Amino acid sequence: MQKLPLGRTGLQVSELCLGTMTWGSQNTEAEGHDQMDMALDHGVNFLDTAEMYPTNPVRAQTVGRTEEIVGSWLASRKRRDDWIIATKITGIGHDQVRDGAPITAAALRSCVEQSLRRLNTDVIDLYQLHWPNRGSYHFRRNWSFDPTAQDRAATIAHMQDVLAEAGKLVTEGKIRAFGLSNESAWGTAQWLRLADLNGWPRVASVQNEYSLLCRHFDTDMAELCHNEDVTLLAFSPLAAGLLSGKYAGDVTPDNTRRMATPDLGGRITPQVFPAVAAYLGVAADHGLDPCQMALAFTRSRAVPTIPIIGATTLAQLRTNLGAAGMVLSDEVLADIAATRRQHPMPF
Amino acid sequence: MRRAGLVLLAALALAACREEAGPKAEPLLPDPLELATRDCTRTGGRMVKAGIANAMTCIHDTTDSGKQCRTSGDCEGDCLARSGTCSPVRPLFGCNEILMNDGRRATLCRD
Repeated sequence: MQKLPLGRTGLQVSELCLGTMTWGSQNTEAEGHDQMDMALDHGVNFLDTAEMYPTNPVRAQTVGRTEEIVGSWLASRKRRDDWIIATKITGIGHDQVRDGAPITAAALRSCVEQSLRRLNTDVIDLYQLHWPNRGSYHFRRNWSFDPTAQDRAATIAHMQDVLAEAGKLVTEGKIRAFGLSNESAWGTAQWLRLADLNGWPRVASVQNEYSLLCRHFDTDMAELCHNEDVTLLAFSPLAAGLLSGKYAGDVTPDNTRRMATPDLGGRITPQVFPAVAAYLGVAADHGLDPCQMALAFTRSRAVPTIPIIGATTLAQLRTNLGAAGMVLSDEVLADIAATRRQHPMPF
Repeated sequence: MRRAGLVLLAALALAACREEAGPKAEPLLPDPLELATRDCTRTGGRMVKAGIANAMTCIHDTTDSGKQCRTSGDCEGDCLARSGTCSPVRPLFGCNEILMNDGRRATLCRD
């Protein structure tokens, strides 16, 4: 398992990051612990969780439960130093979490303290904003995105408040690095500019959706992340399971995420199944496991990209872990590029 | 007229000489923040705003961050009590539960 630098933080993280969002919903505490054990045995040292997990769905009564499951593993195994732990503060507008309140400096501090308690630890290695207060084009909102209601001065003032507080949290040893999620190139550039001007924590990583089926990152964000040493943490690298082929033919197997979210967060479209079939075909033509091919594709990108692998069974996790170190041939990459031309934006 | 011109030229030349040879402007006192920053970065630290005063302060990332500890003597910085691991930076600002050198738990507040 290769280790990669996380932005300019000096932290070295595994090339695969363990996702956790089903622990406490689709997975029990014991299953979550088994996943941590297995991932660790395969050389993974990086996991990602969030205040609002588990999902799906997010429920007020389960907010923070996934962090507690990570925390109970840390308490029982006493191996805190084996993990680089990333978590997030929930963004504005999710009624189940803090009544939909926005991210503020005060909320940042309060949520860090609460996450530390749930995680049974004293330090969060990477603290991320789950989505920006001002709104976002992610989660299929790109189809109707309108930024003209945004107030630049208010956004900059908010960023300054949050970065100053994040800086204090670093000096207090409560967080080590600062990251974003569901951000845009403009937003990330502003966070970076203000941090550099004032000596506040720099953006180490951006956690945005990225997969064979979702390639928003490839232009402006890729340019920004290259020039500013920001690592992409790719969420949904299997497009919520679509790229495994388990939903091919528009079916919904038992015990899958699609039981709770039939449209997989807007990813089920008339275009998606032909695209999935084409990528499954590329994997079959080259004798590859489709999940491993999809994960290895994210790792093949020139801009440093770490996929967040989620699993509901140990068998799935074992398969996903098998993508570590896998290098796709030029022929596979050429077929992937040709497939993208034919199926450019399936959702 | 010609003589007056020569006198003027000579006066200007003298003035120029005096300017060149005269005492140089007194050097500014070194900026304390600049000095502190230099000392800080020379020892591998970085300057950040910290504490109640929000003053620029030198902090160092520790090399044993996250390692298991029983007392603060095991760490470059402090031994954090909840996880029993060494702190990521030194000194640690704000309030933190730590394990002191004798292993006792205490709340350390540094402003």
